[in-house]
Amino acid sequence: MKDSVALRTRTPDTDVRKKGGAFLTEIRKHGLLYLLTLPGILLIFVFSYLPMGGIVIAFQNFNAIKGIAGSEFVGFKNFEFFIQSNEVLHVIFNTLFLNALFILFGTCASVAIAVMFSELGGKWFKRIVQSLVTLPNFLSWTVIAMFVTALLSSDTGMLNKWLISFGFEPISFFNEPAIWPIILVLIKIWQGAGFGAIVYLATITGINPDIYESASIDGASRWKKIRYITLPLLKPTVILMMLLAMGGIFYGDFGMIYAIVGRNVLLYPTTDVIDTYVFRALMELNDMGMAAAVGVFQSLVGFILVITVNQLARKFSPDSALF
Amino acid sequence: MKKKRTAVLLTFVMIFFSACSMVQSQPENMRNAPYSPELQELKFMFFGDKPTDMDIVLQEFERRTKDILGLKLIMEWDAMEEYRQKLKLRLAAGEEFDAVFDASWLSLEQNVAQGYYQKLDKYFNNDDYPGLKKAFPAAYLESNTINGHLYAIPLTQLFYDIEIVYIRKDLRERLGLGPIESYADLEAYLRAVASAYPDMVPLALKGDRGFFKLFANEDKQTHYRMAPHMISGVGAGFQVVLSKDAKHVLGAVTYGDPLSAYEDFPAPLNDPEFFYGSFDRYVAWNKYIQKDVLTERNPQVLFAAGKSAASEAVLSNWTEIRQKLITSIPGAELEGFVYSSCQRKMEKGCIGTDYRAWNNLAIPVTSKHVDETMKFLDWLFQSQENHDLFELGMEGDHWMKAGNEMYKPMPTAMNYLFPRYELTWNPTMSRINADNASEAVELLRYSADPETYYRLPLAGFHFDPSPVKTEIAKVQPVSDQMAQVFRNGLDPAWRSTAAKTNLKLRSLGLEKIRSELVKQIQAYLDAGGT
Repeated sequence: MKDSVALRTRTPDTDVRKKGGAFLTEIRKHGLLYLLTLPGILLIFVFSYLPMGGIVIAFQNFNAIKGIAGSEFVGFKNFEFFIQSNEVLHVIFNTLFLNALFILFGTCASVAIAVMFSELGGKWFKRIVQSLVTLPNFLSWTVIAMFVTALLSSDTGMLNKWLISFGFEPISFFNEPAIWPIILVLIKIWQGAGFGAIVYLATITGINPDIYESASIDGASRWKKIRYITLPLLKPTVILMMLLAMGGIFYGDFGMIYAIVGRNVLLYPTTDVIDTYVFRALMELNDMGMAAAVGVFQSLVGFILVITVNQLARKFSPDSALF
Repeated sequence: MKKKRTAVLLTFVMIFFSACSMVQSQPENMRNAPYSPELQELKFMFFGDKPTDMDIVLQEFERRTKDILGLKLIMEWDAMEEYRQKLKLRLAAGEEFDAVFDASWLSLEQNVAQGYYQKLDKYFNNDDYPGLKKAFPAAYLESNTINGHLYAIPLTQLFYDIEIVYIRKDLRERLGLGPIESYADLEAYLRAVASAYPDMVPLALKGDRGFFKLFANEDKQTHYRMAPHMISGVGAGFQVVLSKDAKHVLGAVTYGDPLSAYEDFPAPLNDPEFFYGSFDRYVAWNKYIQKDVLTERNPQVLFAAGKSAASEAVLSNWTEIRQKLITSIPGAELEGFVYSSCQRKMEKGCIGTDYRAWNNLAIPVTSKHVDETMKFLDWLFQSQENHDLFELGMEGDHWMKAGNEMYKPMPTAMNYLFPRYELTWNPTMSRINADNASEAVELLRYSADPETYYRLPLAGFHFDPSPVKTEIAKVQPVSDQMAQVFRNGLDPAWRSTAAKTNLKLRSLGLEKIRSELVKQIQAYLDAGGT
């Protein structure tokens, strides 16, 4: 059993670089197949690599009329406002902390949902539930923000009305920064976990049914099959998805936080992330160079994180490393 | 093998070239497309919803002007948020447009500074453009120049939108109270509501606006600029004090400055309470507003739904608020309390203004039809009839005349709700809606009267943030955060908070901004500005 698992997940990829000319031979041999990848490569080149030239803007006193070529070069001046302000440390902490919570609990919830779906019987029931769970992903954050207000508001919120009718003290959620990381995580799970489960569900579907069958013959219970077959085989995918998520850990979810928290300054201590902070800082200045500087900073840190974590993954779980 | 490689190479080259030629040829084709050959097209960019009957009005326009102008207007409409981004990107990309909406609250000053907009000085006060000459008096234009030039056409109907606390007349009468004529009356009403209807929010405010100008200092600002008329775009709220002859800057002060900063000012400006006293009132009135006021985006929804008994808004909202209120709550009636006392008494010379329009139409430098666009605008402002067509739609279909200066909307007016502030608003030509409540009409007339206003000192001054933009970016988020708490009366200890925050702001560059502000104002005064 163990061997078949290893065969399925381990792809032989080390012998490509045996000889110097191997690459050319490979191209010659499967030229047409490689040609098929060309549109994709072009697309990525045009929309992902070419725009990187715009990084220059982060080091310029950028003026769109003068263009990239004509704008004055100012070195690291655009980074100053972000690096010098001591406010920023705490904004960076919030960004990392919230994203770590989102990734951790989001992944757990997604995996749990995927496993539950894989165990569900009843074709129609399964389909309907699956659609319902993925649905919130397609709601805009603005709409979700309205739900949240209707639910949590002190004067008119449903939750507080229930609390009062059961004789409890109402909670003024919008004045309590401490509970907001939990609220945001719950909202994030409600919104995205169902959709995130699709990838894991696909992986589970791909697991060889023979393994489960032989486990059943050996007398394994349902729970044991989940614990000793499904979850271990999901691990590479989980790590892979986490690795990809790592690249964005320095990006606050602006759409979500700005829609839900908005300009409620009382909640800033725990909810203000890099993106919302920079938005407020540059709202009146409209300075593209300074905004680009923060963007470069975020991508750079994200890049370093992905490399480091990938390195770690290669060491501890080579199957799931990206490269 | 060789053949195959050549084939692959050729395919690649062909794909590449066809992609390139596609990009190049497209605009060429579009330019040569045979539309109506005799009409010159002008492309306009607006935000908001396209009025349902826009095309009918545009057809009528073409019919009326085929022989004199020969223009065809193409209007693009986008939702506000999208518009904001599209405008910026299109200007940056140099796309060709003949007129775009912009405003100080959007990105006008920045876009002018970037050189995106045409100078329009020569079209005004020019006998070749009589319509513009008549509708835009020199004094009006002068206050709307940036760095001495006119870069955008100022659009405004009134120089001020009077602030009002809207209340429920039916509730007030049920509570046995007389008409509200002072803050004390208003507080009596709020208190009565709080005890009689504990489920209701007595006063609903908008989170980022807070109490706004309630309890604001009403003294005429002749040689200083303070809230509610602070200089904007500085990153923190500065009160600027000039010498009595308005020739020198005595200083600029902000929240939490030590007493010594005020010492050199003439009385009563040497007392910080003169500037910030209203914060105490906000704290005292905080018990009447929503508990989660900071998350509130639209208090009018609460008011119209009967969940709040009063709400702060402006005069131009009167009709809309009343309509929503009486349709959702049978028997409800709206009443407005103008909270600034001299506005309430409709005194002359009461409202300070810089005569600057809040909305503008600008012509990007990429436009190839500047003269034609200005000819169109000249036509628009040439006669009341032309102006009414775009502002109100087809006479008899969408609206009817009601005297010289008013109009009555017809039931189909809903099909032509042109956002007038984007093209047609003008102090001399815009009509007043006769369906307004009579109090509102009276206030609208009052705010349309030039005698109502006085010119603020430093009216023509624009702060250029570029020398201190790093400092502004550091100071602004912290200072905004504090001001918003104060505006809603959420911090009873605002004095000590302000002092603490002030020290923090100083470490972020507050002093550099302050000295730059003082320097720029002094330079403005030295150059003859007032």
